[in-house]
Amino acid sequence: MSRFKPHALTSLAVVYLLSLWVFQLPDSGVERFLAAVFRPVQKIMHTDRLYRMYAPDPRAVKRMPFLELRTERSPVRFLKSLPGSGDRWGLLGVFSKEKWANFLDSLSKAVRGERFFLTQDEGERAFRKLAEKICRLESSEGDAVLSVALKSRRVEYGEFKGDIVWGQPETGDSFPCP
Amino acid sequence: MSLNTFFHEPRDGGRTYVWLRIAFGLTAVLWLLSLHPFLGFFYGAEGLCPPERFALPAWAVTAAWWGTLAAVVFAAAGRFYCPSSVVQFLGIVFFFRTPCRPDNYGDQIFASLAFLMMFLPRSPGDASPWLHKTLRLYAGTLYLVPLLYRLGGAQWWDGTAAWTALADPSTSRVWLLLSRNPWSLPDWVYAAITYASLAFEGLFPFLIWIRRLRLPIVIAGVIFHVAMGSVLDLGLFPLQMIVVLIGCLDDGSISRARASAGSP
Repeated sequence: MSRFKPHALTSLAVVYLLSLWVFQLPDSGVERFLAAVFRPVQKIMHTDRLYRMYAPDPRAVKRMPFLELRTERSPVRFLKSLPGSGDRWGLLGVFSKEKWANFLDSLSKAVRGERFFLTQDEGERAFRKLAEKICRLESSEGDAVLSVALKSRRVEYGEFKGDIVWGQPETGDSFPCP
Repeated sequence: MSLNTFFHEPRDGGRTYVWLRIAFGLTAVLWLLSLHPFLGFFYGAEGLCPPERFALPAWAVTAAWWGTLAAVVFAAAGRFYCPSSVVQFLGIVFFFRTPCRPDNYGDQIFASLAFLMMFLPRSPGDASPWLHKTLRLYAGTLYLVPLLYRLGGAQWWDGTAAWTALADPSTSRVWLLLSRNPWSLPDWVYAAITYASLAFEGLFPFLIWIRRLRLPIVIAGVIFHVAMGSVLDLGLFPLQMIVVLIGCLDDGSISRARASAGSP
């Protein structure tokens, strides 16, 4: 190993760990100053996320998003997988399903105006594109899709050993097929 | 002790870096396969949420996916490691950074680990432990930060946090079972799961630095994440965390455990 290499690797490790720790600091003047310094490094090293899983408590209320279709033959049909896939997820369905659920969650939050990964505009554009694909790919001979709605249900399940309470579906956004 | 001494001593044979390389590669292959159904949906100019400045045509997205897969296989096999680990990192970042954001914490940890994997020591017989030590501090942060926030949470003190997580219909694999019969398990089971999780997360950042305890705490971590992945649908998060844990082990901790197991 050259004489320079250990110094370079030590510097890399220190910058990597500092960038990670700075992102975990609570909001303050020091944090804002350090965040501005480390932001480009955090973007490259992917150390820009808060690791506060289930903090301080696991959430006891959630919204479960789902896609509801109205077709010529059925007033209500739920789309559980990718449009046009016929409920087949491929080799690693168990992992792909989780990604699809995460995406629907992001989309549903954006459409409702909640601050998350997508802005409301981006969410609405993405939902319109998704609905157009669904209208095209899920329509079959004599059973065309008439509309696509992104709905969510409020679920309360936090009370220790209490019932899980499901709210009525709320319409986040709806798209009539052309 | 200088920072250089801390990060680069004692040197060892680097055998556990080979394990890390292979474990990372296998998980990366699974991660890419799990994204395959979404190539036409999430990525490129025709995707649902095209990136503003970097929208590739569909054929280029498919080519990027195959290119990343090939790079991951080459890197895992240790062939052309420098260029393949760079392509591996860029590919993982490209597929991670879609504005559709179907990712979870594990995917972000994985993209960050892909960055460090470009600098994986590869000198057989004389490997620096800097990456093991960086990953011990990284994993320690991943466990300690949530724990500090949890100190303010009522459910972690009264032992009901495990119930709330297991009853969550969006991620739990057993919520239906619990909603049918919430009394199927006694209260102390939920309390035990809650306190055991806290104990592991609180002890890991410290015990991982004790050489004799390093392998046992990593084995405890593997069991913790396998159990978590069995009852909660967290995608590849448990596997991705197991890869980070493997990266915490050096040759010395394995040989010491072997010697202890062989000694009377």
